Amino acid sequence: MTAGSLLTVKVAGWSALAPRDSLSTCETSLPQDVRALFSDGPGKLSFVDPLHRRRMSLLDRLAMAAAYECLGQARTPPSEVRLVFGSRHGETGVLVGLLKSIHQGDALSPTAFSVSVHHAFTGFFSMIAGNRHSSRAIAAGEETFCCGFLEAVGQLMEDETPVLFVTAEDALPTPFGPLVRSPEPAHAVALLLTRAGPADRGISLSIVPGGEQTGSGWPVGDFLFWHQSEASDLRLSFGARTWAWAR
Amino acid sequence: MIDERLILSTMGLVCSLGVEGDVVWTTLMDGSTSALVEDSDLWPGRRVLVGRVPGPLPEIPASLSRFRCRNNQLTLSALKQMEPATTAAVARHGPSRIGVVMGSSTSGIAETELAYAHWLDRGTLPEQFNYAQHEMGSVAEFVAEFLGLTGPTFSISTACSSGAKAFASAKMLLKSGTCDAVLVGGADSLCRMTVQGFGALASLSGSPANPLSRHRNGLNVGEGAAVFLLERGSGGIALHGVGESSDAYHLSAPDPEGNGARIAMESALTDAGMSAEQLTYINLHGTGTIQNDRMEAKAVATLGLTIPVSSTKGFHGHALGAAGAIEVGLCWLALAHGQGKRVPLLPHLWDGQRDPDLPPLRVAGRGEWVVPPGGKARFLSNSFAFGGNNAAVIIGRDL
Repeated sequence: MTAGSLLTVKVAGWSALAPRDSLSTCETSLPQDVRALFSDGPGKLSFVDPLHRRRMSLLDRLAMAAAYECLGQARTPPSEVRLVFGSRHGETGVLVGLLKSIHQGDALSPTAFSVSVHHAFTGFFSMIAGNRHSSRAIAAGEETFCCGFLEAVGQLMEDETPVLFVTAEDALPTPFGPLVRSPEPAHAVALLLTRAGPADRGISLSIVPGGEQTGSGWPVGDFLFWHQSEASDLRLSFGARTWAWAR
Repeated sequence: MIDERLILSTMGLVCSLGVEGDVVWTTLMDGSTSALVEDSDLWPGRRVLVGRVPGPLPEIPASLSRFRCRNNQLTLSALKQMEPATTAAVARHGPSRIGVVMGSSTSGIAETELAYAHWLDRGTLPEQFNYAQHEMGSVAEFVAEFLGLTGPTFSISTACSSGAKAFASAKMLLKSGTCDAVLVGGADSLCRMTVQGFGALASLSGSPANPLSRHRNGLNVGEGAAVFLLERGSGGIALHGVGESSDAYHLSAPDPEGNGARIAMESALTDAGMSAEQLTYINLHGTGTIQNDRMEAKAVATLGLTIPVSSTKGFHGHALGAAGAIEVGLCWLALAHGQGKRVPLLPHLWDGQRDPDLPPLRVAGRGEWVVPPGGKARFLSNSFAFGGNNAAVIIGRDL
């Protein structure tokens, strides 16, 4: 058995957004209880300069709306957090536009190229929030949420500056959707993680080898549902590893 | 937190200078010209200079065919250089205690370009296309599958700082006690997307990059991979610190005052528990663009104008997501080739025409060796990316 002796953390605030109907039309069957945790988003993003807003993909807008809603709930200035961004598919929607241009021999849009990078959201967040702290963007297939959570907890072990962990996806564009086992709906979830104090009901994370595939196929949905429940622990297995949260 | 020294005990490296670490070193230190080559396919109708890895690459094993792409072949080329050490590490620590963190900006985009074109023309994807070739997480997952590792495995994708930031996450995995060793590095491969993208930004040069020169006019896209085994230990070449920051300025242009770059370097020094005066050498991000070199020179100047600096990108190209790892790899080679109390500095390829508008940095001389005070050689390597996403890595060796 392998278990990291990781820090106990607290979810100081959270937000979950998805465009209306994206959850009900997603090919992956999502429990109604999980879907009910998501509010309609991204909304108008009136706090974002139109110059930035028009360059932001749906994924960026969902992530930004979730980030600001979460930080507002936790009364934490956006400039005062470190950022961990997790996305399995990143800006694939922007990418296919560029792929089409390449195939047709058309000149690429420099703006589209600039925002096609996997971490585009972190750049937008840094500019809009005036945030100069570190930001990391990760991808880990089906375990993207799990690895992002680990990354955030690990950072809190090194330094107590809160970590805003945002995970977001857009629906995969044609023809890539059918290639993925459990396609996720367009959505964004933001968790503000801090070190847990003595009076907090903190959350610990451990990782053990092996385990049969478990979960709904949507790890972030499973985590949110567990977080809002009274269950003491959550285990998500992916064959090579099992991720275990406990409180 | 586990407060032990972290050692980069072994490395595999492949770039346009060669397909093996010692070959790369010899070519870099003995040659006086760039290894860039002309290409007319990546941007049809135009000839561009690129840093292409020469010669055939190892084939992806049939059991891992779903990962088949040039990006992973480059990674495999690096991994094969490490095989005795990685096999021993797995036996020593166990597969579940070894993590993988890889930086990349491309993953298998080159294969995706072909697959998408096939779909546009014929309505179907090629039979051999697998989403695992494309997605960013596969860059790390391939390493884990090839070596049979089951510790936490993920990719970092922050464009040109990916390969540097991977070291920060790898350090975290070890310091937190989650892992006992980490395979850390980066891999990027040439593709039409990045060549044409940087072309659209008017960032490409028709000549080898000319960092710090008054005549500099852009970068050359390259490719390659570097992978390290990072574990707790003593002696050897250590990972001393990593620093990060964000510019909060622009999506594709750096903060012209270099504030973000300065903060990243200062953070790395703080993380390493050292001062700028203790640096032996700074490996510049040094892409050769007007904007990067201007802001980086300002930032480096705040640390001091006597620290030798150089950019090697004119020799091998800018390997984007892999650049941070490759250039830490070149620093690693320099430290490994130290003799007695002396270490060689990495060379700087340029025309020698200093830009009078930049602070007068001390450019390392060709074939220069130095004697670090107290025998403590400390090399800092910079990587700056789109969105003002900055990273600085400090490695060193006690001679």
